[in-house]
Amino acid sequence: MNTEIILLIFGAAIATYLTRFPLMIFSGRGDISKKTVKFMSFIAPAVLTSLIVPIIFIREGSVNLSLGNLYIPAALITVLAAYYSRNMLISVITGISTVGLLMLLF
Amino acid sequence: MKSENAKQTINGFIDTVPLGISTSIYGLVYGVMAANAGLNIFETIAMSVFVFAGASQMTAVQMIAIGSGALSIILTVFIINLRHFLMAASLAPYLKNESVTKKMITSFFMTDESYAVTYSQFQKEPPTSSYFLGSGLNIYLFWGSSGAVGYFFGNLISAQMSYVFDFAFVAAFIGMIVPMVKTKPAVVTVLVSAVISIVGSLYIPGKWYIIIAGLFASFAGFLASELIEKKKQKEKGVITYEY
Repeated sequence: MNTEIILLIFGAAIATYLTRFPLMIFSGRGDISKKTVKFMSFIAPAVLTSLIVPIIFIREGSVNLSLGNLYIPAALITVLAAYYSRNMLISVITGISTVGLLMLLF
Repeated sequence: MKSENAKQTINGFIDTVPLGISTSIYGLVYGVMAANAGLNIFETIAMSVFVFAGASQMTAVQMIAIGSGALSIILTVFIINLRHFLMAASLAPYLKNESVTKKMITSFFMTDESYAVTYSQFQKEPPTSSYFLGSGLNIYLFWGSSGAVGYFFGNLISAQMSYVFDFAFVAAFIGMIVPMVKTKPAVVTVLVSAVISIVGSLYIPGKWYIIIAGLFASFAGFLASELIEKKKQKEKGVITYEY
C-alpha cells in the first residue's frame, strides 16, 4: 500500500466529514446568510467544470482545437444528450460511443 | 421503539433504491478511473468506505492520475463538499429532537441522493433520523459495490481503449453539470471556470488551477446573480415610478 494514498484517503475522509456533521448539530444557532448560500450554490458546477474542460481541450501540454481532438465533438454531443435526457447512464453511454465511433471513422 | 426505528430505516432504504441504481453508474466510472489512476483494490474500496462522496472521489482519483499533491487534492475535496453544509442546515430543523450521537452517525451517510429522498419524505411524514440513515446506507452499499465492480472493468481496458473510456469521466461530469446550469449566473460560472481552468492548467504550477477556477468562477456566478437581481429591482423601480 502506498502511504501517501492512505494519508490522502484519511485526509479527504476527514475533510468530507467536516462538511457533513457541523450544521446538523449546531443549526438553529444563527443561520447561514443568504449571500453565502448563493455563493455556495455555484461551487459544484464551478469545480466540476474546471476538472473536465482541460481534459477536453488540452493535449500534450497545449490547447488542441484540431479535428483530430475527438473529445471536443464528443463533449458537445454529450452536453446535448445530458440536456435532453437528464439521465446519467444515457449521457455516459452517448459520450463513450461517440468517441468510439469517431475513432473508427477517422 | 426499536422496531419502529428499524422500520423507518428499511423504508428509507427501499425508497432510495431507484437513486441507488443510478448512483452505481457513477460508481462504475469511479472504479474504472481508480484502476487507471493506479490505485489498488483496497485503496479504491477504502476511499468509498471512508470518504463516501461521489464527485469528490472521482475528482481525487483524477487528480492522483494527473499527479496532484495530496494537500491540493484534500483542499479540492473540501471545497466540492462545501455544499454539504447547505444540506445539513436544511435537514437539521427536522431532526432537532434526535440525539447528538445519532446525528453524528447519520450525517456521515448524507449524500446528494439521500438528502433529496429524505427531504421530500420529511415534507410528507414525521421526520426521523432512522429514515435518513436507511436512505444513506442504501447509497453507501450501491456506491461501494459498484466502485469495486468498476475497478475490475478498469483493469481489463487496454491502453488503446483507454482513450475511449477516459471519456466516461468527462461524460459523467457533463451529466452532473448540465442539470445544475439552469440560470444565467450558472452559465457565467461554467464559462468562467472553463476559461480559467484552461489558462490555469497551462500556466499555473501544480494543480492549483482547480481550486482557483472553482473559487473565482463561483464568485463570478455570485456577482452575475447579484447584478441581475439589482437590475431587476431597478427596472421594477422605474416602472413603479412611471406609473
